[in-house]
Amino acid sequence: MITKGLFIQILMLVTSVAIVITFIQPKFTEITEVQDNIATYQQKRTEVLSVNSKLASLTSRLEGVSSNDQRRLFDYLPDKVDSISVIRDLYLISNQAGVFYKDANFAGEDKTIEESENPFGNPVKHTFELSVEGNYNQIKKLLSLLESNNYPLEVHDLNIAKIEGGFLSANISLVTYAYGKSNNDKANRI
Amino acid sequence: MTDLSNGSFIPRQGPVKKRRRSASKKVYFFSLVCYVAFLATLLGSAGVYFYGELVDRQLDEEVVALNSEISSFNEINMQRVQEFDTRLQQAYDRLNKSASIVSIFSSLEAATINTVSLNSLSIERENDEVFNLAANINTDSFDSTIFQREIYEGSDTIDSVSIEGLQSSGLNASVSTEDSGLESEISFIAEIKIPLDAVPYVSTSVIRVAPEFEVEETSPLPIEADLFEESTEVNQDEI
Repeated sequence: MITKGLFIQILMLVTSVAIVITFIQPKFTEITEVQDNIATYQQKRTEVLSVNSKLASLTSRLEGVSSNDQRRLFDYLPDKVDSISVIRDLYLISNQAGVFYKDANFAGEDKTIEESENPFGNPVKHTFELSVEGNYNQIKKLLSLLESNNYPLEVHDLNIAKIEGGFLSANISLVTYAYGKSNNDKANRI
Repeated sequence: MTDLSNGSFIPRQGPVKKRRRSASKKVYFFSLVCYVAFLATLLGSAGVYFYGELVDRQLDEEVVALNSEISSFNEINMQRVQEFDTRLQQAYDRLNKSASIVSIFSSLEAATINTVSLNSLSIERENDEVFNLAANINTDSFDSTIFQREIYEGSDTIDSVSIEGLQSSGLNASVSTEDSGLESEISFIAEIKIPLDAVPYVSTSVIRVAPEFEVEETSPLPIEADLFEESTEVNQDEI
């Protein structure tokens, strides 16, 4: 026959086992999960902290760029190409080169250029046609001035032919660029 | 003699008592295990409970800290930086692909012999990689044509050259060109490929035409020869 004392002892043992199974073990599992979550949150916080500090550093660098340099960059790659200003510039450059300015016009904007995997996107191409007449040296000077312009005026097509009086006629297809939104920017907008 | 063992008031220890003592030791050990296990369970439960509370608080603190970091993120600054970086990258990309047409002219001047003259010249830029030139050239003999081709082929700037559409007139061997009064003439089209890398634009200074209308004149390369002007001198031997 089991004595009362022994029964109580067995009951204590059973209770202990029950507590371990029903409380301590699940709690341990729960604590482990919480600790994992803490580690994850800590890692994410470190990442966010790193991004924030990097952003602060980049913002500081951006603000450190002189307004003159920023203006040059925006001149080189503006948000939008003003076709009238470009034609006026072509006229002025032609005069500067000494060629006879015949005509200049805006041929169009090409938004379809190279939809490549470039994460920075591509600038938007704007094409202009310029027709001039002059001697060889004048045309060469014109090309030199176009190359030295403060925004790109790339010669993509050039046709030079002899005309009367020893002069040359030149039809030049020039390309300049406007800033094109990057793929990241587009994604952010969406 | 008196039997002292039966008369003694001190109980004798027999083997049975020894057995009982060992049985009571077993019960005591089991009790000890039970008490220790129970006590440990209670303490463990309390410890686990409080530790659970502690890690819960830590988790809450981490969540609050993370949210605080996230809320301190400045999206406007991020967009500014990204946009500036993109613009800079695009500008850098275009700058890297800038080429000098004047350098092409200089190369042609250096590689064109005196007995040829150009009637027309077309230059086409293909995919930021190569310039395709088509020069309509006149010369006075086949030898000059062959020599011109060799000079073009030997040029460092020119990648490839092919002579197309060769036409000849006034080359009657029986009649001297001086006697007949006709000039012999060979015309052909030289198709030349010049890689963009071979004629990079090297900035010397930048001209800003507008809006201040200040023009700073630069001439990176000397403007000397005229490709379109036919020279009367023949200096093939010198070359």
